[in-house]
Amino acid sequence: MEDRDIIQLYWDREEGAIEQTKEKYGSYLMAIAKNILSRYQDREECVADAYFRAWNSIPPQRPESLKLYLGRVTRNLALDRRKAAATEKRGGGQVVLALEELKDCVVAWDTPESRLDEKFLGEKITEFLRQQPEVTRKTFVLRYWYLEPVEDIAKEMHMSLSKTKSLLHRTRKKLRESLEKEGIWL
Amino acid sequence: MKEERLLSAMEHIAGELILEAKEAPMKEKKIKSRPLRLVLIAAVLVALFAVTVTAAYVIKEWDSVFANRFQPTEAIQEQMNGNLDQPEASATRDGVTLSVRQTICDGNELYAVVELLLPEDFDMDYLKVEPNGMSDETLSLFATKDETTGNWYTGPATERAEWFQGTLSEEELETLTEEKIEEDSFHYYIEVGMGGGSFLPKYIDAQTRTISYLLMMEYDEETGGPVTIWFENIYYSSTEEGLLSGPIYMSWTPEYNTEPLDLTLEQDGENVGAVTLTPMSIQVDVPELLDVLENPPEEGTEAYDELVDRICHEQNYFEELVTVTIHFADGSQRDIVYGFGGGYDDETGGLSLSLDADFGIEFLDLSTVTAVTVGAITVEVN
Repeated sequence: MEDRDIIQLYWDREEGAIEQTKEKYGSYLMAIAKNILSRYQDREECVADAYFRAWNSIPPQRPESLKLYLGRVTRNLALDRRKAAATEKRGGGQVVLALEELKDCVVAWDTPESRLDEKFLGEKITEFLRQQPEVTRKTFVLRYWYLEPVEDIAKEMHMSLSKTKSLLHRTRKKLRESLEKEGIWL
Repeated sequence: MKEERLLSAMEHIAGELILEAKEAPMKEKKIKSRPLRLVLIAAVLVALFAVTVTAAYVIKEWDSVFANRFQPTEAIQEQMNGNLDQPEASATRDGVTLSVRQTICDGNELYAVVELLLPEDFDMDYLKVEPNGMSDETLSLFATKDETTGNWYTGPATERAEWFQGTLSEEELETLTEEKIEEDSFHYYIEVGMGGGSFLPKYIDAQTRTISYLLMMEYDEETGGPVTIWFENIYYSSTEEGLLSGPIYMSWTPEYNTEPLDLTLEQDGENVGAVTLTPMSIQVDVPELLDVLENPPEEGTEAYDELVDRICHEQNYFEELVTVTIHFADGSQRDIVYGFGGGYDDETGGLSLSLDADFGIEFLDLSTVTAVTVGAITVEVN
């Protein structure tokens, strides 16, 4: 079923909307949740929450891309759930590793005036990524948006593990340099 | 924490980047049913042939791109010698020459080194070649004009026209159809988006004005036909005008010399699946997944429903569920942990398993394989 037809089901308050969403994007959303949450039950609940969120927000919203909309909702919910799980000493996984890697993009000092809101920072990252080759863009997004394990990305991108790690390292360094050139110090 | 803020900022990157990352083409999960081959007779024939032609036998030199990627030992070079080919394929348009330098094929996987020779008036400074002569980043200066055609495509020629619809003029489509498509053949078309998919830029040589690419793709032995490399055009970054007045493309049919190792999975004397090994890949086909599970749940039970649910919704569940291992004569073994497919069939209500994985930069010596395990079944090589 096309996205617009599924969205129409939400607008018509048809319960089939969630079933159709689950059929079309269930695996995709579970994959996003899996990279962030280690417990199967947590992932299931997270994706179920995403469906619920969609049900409550469409209408009035009418997302252009249902896949993107649900993906973002799922990622946010999973990250929130991970924070809660971390306090119970479970979960973490790829998020902890990704955070460790992202230290490459952060310089040693930090001043209040250099702080900026995350949305603006997201726009700057977008600008940077748009200037990169396709393979670099995809690898970076798979790692730091989807939070996929580096091993999985290497297979997906048909690269060796060492090349993937090296590409990510170079990209983080270049991102930092790019942000610094614009006077953005993280 | 600052890194955490950066991770949160990723939430706000453009949606197109998020979707693009997951639009990488997946390899087709095709399982071929080949008749069992008489490996022993083949081995004897190969031995006889080797004795006969010893004087003329020459180990081919590996192209530098292949040599750097695979770093083949002498043993590997000898083993894969019959799979290395230097096809005569090239095309020239507006001073740009596209050619294929060397291929490695085993009937299931294909690697090719493709070269693009730029015109004499092309300013190589645009490519900003670094001292070591290789840099993936500099190639971003090339881009396909239309982002919608920036992906690569492999598939039947008969479906190609639909793929290109809207990106080429009717006249160009018609010309290509007349020249290249035979209804009964299966062509592979690779449309190139610079730096993307499995078509990777490897080297720029400013002196010779060449760019070398490494192509990696699945190639089907039985339906295989010519491979066509297609460049819609070549552009400097951020410019509208291309170097070419129209598309440039070339075709060739890969040549190789490999006997795949075909094995049958049996349970209580019944054929329940097939395994095919080539030097560069493994394929597994199990029509009924339950046949290879240690403790298969009965249909209609809660355990079965849970199995179906996890297979349908958990991305890497097959890898947890079924172990696929190749055993070697020296006692070592290799677990295959990716390339799984199959799933729940809505129509039949059955569960199936398939696997199609390549070995990356390694080559398997089929003569050293003693057995393959798929879940609860181990099949030995006679």
